[in-house]
Amino acid sequence: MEKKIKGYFTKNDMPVIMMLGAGILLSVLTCILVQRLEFKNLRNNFILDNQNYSVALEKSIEGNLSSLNAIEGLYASSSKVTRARFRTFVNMIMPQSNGIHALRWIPRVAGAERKQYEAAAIKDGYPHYRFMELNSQKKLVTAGKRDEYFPVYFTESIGKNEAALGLDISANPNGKKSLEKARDTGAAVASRRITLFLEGDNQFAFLVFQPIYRNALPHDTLEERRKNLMGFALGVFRFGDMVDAALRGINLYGIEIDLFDESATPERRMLYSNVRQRNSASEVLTFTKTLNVADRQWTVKFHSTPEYLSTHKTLYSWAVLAAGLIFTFFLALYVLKMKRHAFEMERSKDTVTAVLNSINAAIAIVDSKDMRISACNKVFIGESQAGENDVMGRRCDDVAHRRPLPCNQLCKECPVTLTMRTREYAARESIHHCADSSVKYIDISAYPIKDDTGNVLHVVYIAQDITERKEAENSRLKEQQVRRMSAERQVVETRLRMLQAQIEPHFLFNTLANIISLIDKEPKSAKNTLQHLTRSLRLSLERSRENESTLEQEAKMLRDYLSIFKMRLGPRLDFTIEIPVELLKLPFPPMLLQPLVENAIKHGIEPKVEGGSVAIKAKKMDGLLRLSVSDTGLGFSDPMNAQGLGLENVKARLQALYNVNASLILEENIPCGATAIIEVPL
Amino acid sequence: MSIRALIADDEPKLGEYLAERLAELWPELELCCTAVNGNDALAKINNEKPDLAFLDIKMPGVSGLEVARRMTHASLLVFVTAYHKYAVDAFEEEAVDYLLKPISDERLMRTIARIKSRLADNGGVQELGSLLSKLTKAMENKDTYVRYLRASSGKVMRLISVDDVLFISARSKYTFAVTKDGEFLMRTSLSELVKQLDPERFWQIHRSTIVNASKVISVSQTAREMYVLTVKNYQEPLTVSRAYIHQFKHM
Repeated sequence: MEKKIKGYFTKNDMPVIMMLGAGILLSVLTCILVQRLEFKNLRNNFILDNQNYSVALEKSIEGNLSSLNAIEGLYASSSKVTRARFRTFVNMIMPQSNGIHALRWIPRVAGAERKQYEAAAIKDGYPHYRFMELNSQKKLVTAGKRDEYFPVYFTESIGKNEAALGLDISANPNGKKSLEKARDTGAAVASRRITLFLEGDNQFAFLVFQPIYRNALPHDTLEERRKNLMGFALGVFRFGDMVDAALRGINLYGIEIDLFDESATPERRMLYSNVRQRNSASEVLTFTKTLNVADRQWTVKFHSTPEYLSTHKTLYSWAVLAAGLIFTFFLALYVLKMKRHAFEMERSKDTVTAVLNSINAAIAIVDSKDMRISACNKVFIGESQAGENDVMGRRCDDVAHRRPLPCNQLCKECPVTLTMRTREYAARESIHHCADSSVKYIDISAYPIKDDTGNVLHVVYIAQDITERKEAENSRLKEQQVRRMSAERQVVETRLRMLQAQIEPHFLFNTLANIISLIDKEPKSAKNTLQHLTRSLRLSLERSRENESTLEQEAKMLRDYLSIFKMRLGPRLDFTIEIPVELLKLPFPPMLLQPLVENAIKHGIEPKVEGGSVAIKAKKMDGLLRLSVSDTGLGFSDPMNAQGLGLENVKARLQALYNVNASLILEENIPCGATAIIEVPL
Repeated sequence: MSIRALIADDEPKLGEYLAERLAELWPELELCCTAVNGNDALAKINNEKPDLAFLDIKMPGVSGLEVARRMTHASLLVFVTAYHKYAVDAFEEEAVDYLLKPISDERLMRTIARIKSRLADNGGVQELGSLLSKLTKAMENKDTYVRYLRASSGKVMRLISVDDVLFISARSKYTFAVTKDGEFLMRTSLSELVKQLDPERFWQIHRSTIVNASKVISVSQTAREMYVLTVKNYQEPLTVSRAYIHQFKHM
């Protein structure tokens, strides 16, 4: 028997549990795989998108820088650029290049030209204009005297912030280095990151210097470039504005950007960042791109935020997991049910087999198509004296004829054949004569197993050894017969006894002697007595041929009988017979009371010197008819007096007629005499 | 001196009839007295000393045979009987006078003649000894064992057939007969009953138990030297005591 492991599951369910485990594992793996694929896809999309974004950024920067080239063009095409013309031109191109904070013109001013430039600016409407520089406290002061100045002369910016107007860029070593590099290379130079603190702006920004050389003068060599430099177009760009402008209209939800200056010292590398919170590297998608801005190299780095992942991630994997788990669960449940079912089937089959084997009868199931045995129990196999393999699939008549299975009659009479023909249950008892000359009784039954249309599919053959039962039955029958015969014998004996009682020589001759003695003296008494005797004799002769009489007839007979004694014994005998009228017609066995009366006379009255009386009474009591014969005779005070009581016959008759329902009781009377009581059912 | 006779018969009509017939057939005979039972007859024979006595064999009180055995006066006896095969045979052999009822005149005449010749012989003493013992034996009840037991159920004394008794058991000073209908108190002691009952049918199995062998269903050995009996219609098994085991050992 299997052992219960945990509640519902049994050891037999292990494979199912394993299957369940494997299913769950597979579901989880699939889920992870889907997640991986999804993430890969997400990363590809991210890269693709951000490639586009970075290109947009690059283009935007390029566009912004190209505004400096436009200024270069302005100066190349004009002999003189006035402040108003610069403003008009710049205001024309500024709106097209978003992200530009300011565009400025930085002329190359020789030391001698300072006053002239300052005066011109004041004249242009900037009364406080002067060349300035930052002192060590980062305060604007009037620029010191130098050979050459590179002041901010024109400036056009968003918001008209003109704090930097007049600032000599070359006063700052870094500024000067950038200017010289631009002058010497002839190409635009970008500054490292700066803070536009003069304008009260602490956002990072950068400057791009575009050298502009004098018109129609060569600037192909370093020498020529140094000599013919006219000034610089300066672009001021704020990173934030620039990035915002470049990526305007793009949904950057969940994407954060870092912008680094690769050419700068490490502490100044960070140019721009909208990263709010640095996450651990895992689960973060990044895309990095190098940008060339003037002479500097930048890298832009796009990060995904958790929001990005959560926005772009789908629930597919979880759906897959859930579907997998549900499928696994139901599959496991189904398999479990099937297995249980199969197990139950197996077990019920075992039970059926065990039951079949436990029945002490040969049982076989015969296929009605070909009479072959499709199943049988052990007794059948044992009885057929063949192995299981020899029996299964064989024709039943073939097997049964082998002996001692009781198919020793013609197959025509076999209940199996009969059942197939009639489609009804058939049975037969067969007597089998064994080799040791003993006789076996075998009961063969055949039950049809029908389909819906009533055709017999199988016949169940059951052969049972009923020898014991049969013998018991036979012996019971024999016993009954014996009992019946003994009852019959009792009746015959009774009849004989009844005759004997009447023709009992002592009684007869004594009576006859009395009659003779009366004939001469009392012919009337003689005649009466003779009549009593005759009637009593006739009745007993007649009764002896009948089994049933009535109480009335019996009473009449006893009256005759007692009258004879009364005549013979004279005053020594009195008798009464009291039978209620309603009981007179009751049937009563003939001559059953007579022996009791005879006893009362013979053992009670006759041996007693004084004689006595005899009383016969009948009454109903508790559903019984109670008859008593009571005398005041000798009684049983001497037990030997009771020896001759002939009551065995009465008892035997009561037993034969009423079985245990009747009784015979002998009681002693007070002060003398005895009572015999017969109780019989009404 | 006339011959005096006594007639004893419990049926008065028969005595009268005999007296009548004798008066007619033997008028010289003097009927000194009549008796209607054995005791009466015996007393009158001893007192009246009749020469001749007609004795009915079956009489209340003492029987005719008993009277013959016990009488002190040797009257000539003529036995009168209705029918008894053995008795008649015995009379034939011993040649003692007898009369068969109903008495015919012829037979009576022959008897009178024989009595007369005996009286004439004067040595008419009859040899009764062997006749009486023969008759007594013939008429004696064959059963020497009791067939009924007197036992009381409440105030009523009953007669119980020994066939119905399952077993008899003595408890303290009382003896009980147990039947399928119940228990009945007996006045006879168990040791007395052992003598009265047929030992073939009633076995003593215990100092206080006698069992009816025909009611025993089974005998089983519960331990070595321990047997119990089960009896029909009775639940409790009966114990066989050590002293009576030998009866069952061979079973």
